[in-house]
Amino acid sequence: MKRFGTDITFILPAFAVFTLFLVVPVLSGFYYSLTDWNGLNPETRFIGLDNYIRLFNDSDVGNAIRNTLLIAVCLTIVKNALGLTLALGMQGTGKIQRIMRVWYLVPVMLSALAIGYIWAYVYSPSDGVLNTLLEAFGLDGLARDWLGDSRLSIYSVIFVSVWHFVGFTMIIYVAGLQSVPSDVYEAAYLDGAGKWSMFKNVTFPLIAPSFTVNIVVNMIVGIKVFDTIFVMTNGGPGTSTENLSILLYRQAFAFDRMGYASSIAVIMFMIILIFSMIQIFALRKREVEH
Amino acid sequence: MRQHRRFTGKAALLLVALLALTATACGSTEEKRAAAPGEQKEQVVLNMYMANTSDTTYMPEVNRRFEEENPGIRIELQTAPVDQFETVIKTKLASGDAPDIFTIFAGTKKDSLVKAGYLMDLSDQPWVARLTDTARETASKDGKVYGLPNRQNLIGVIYNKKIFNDLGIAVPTNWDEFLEASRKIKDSGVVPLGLGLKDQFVTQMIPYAMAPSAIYRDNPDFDKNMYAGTQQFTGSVWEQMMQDYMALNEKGFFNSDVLGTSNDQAMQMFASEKVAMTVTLHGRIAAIKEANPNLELGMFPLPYAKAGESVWVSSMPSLFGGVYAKTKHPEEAKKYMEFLTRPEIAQFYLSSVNSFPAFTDVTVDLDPALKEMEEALKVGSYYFLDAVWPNTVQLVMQQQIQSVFAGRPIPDMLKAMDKAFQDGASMQ
Repeated sequence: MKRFGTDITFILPAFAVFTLFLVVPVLSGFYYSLTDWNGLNPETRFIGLDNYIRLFNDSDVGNAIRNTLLIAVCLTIVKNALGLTLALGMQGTGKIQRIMRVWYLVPVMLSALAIGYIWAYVYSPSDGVLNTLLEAFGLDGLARDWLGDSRLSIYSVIFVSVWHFVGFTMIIYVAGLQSVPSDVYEAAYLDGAGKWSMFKNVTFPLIAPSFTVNIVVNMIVGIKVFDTIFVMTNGGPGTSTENLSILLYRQAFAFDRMGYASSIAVIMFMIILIFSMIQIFALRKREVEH
Repeated sequence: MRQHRRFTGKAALLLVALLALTATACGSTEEKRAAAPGEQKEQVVLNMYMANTSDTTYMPEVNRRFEEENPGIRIELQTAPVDQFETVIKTKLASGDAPDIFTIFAGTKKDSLVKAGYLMDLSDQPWVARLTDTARETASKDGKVYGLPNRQNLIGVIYNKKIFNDLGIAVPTNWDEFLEASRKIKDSGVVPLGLGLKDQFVTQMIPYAMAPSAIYRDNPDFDKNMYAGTQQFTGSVWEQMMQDYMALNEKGFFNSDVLGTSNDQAMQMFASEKVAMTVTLHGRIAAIKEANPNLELGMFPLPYAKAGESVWVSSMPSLFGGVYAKTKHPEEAKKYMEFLTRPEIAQFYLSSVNSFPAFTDVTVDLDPALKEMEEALKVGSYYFLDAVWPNTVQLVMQQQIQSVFAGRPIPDMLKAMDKAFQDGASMQ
């Protein structure tokens, strides 16, 4: 009994903070999604599922969900492929590898807002760094209006997000790779495994936990991405880069529809929950202990 | 063990840094309190929370003059960028921690605050009688005044006089002349019109400048009929307006990659004389002159009219701010507002922001570039359109215009705007 008391005293402060600042707001978000709260007026009406009915008939929401999923899937695939490649290249404890690892990690430390502003300049059609460089190398034909072309803009935004956070993905893979004991490789080598089969049969299963973390985290980050888009395109041109986060912000603070925005937030929560569950379930099975 | 020690070392460093941060944060508020003069008598502190507009530049000076005259009142001014302001003020109001005076925006934008009961009714103030009609209207809801109008903004064409003179172009007074002038400028190798449509608010400048002549001059009840449901954007003059707007682009009168260019870049292009005209707020003149003091600038209303027809101006009174309904110092706040309406104070800030007065009895010497606009205002004017629309329409229109530039058909845009209007009107 005394033990129980000690446990509780340790858990209670964290639990209280967690409840007060996370659980309560999240639950009240669910509640507000059932009201017509405008974010200002203290009087709100309970309107049941009206917000959700409206949401399913709102073409902006459909467009935002499509954009959100496109961003999330692209981000997850590209960041993992690139992150793993970089990690494999940066393996080892040599000086260059160590410097390069830090180098790739630098963008992670910068704020997404600053990065958004910088890249908005890089992408600028008339005097931006990117087009100027392309022209300097005689590749004028490749110069584009990167953020102004509504077919391209979403990929331009995705690229910046990849550039921003690929270092983080890489570091998790590096950690995973370093935790693989060298005797396993030696055994595989003695058994005559080639480089590819060594990666496929030894490395990959053993770093599966990093894989799970990276896929799930990047998917969640991809679904939620807001600041980069907000600064670079604000969802434009038109609605071509408007994802659920931008739409939610707009509904909540520009249109004063806090209730409706809450229902969008709930939908986002559901999407994240479903994707994470599927991924964790599917990926956990591949993990092996060593 | 070594690892462990290194970790504790780092943790300690972090802790110290955090402590230092909080310490400085506490320190600054402490200092302010200590510095307040007149401790013996209870001093009234008026809290002002204002969005960063050109108004915030003169506020410290005006506040200083006010405090000098009223030693019993101290003004605590806090400002924030517009986006941030809009979110923060809503939270402050909802949580009951509201400033005494804060920025509100003219027209329907302030109405949700009125409806929620956050704004004090200022109709009984002596300055109300001195307001121009349009200023009073945009500061009111259901016949009651809720904000202090302080100046008027205009949208029109800012142009480079030297380029016009070199090419022998006169200020155009109708649409055909405007197109002809643009063609001449383009043929000379200069971009006729600079626009930065990457920033969504820029998309509205041309339609806002067109609408007073195209719609409201002949049909002043357009918006009333929109609310009544007997008028729609679809099938209205809007179709022609948008076609003419797009035609400017098709003729190559805008800078290239107009959707990827930001407003700042467009202004830079204008300041470096790569562009002959831009359609924007008259307030930009100051910024352009700062970037290039040698420019000779002029401004004329966008002449979206046939030859012989009169051209109306897009003009909008702007509000300084409103008073919190439950303020603890209503008398002091009203006193401050009244102070701002004094002719000599109004003249001071109007000339500092180079803006037109919102009071009938105040005159001010403005930048010579605005001479033509001063005359044009007398012909006729209508508000920036969002002042009358439900707050849902403007953003939808901005997005839709970008989409139209990217290839969306104009009727689809107008349909979306109609829907936004109905949605918003039903919520009001």
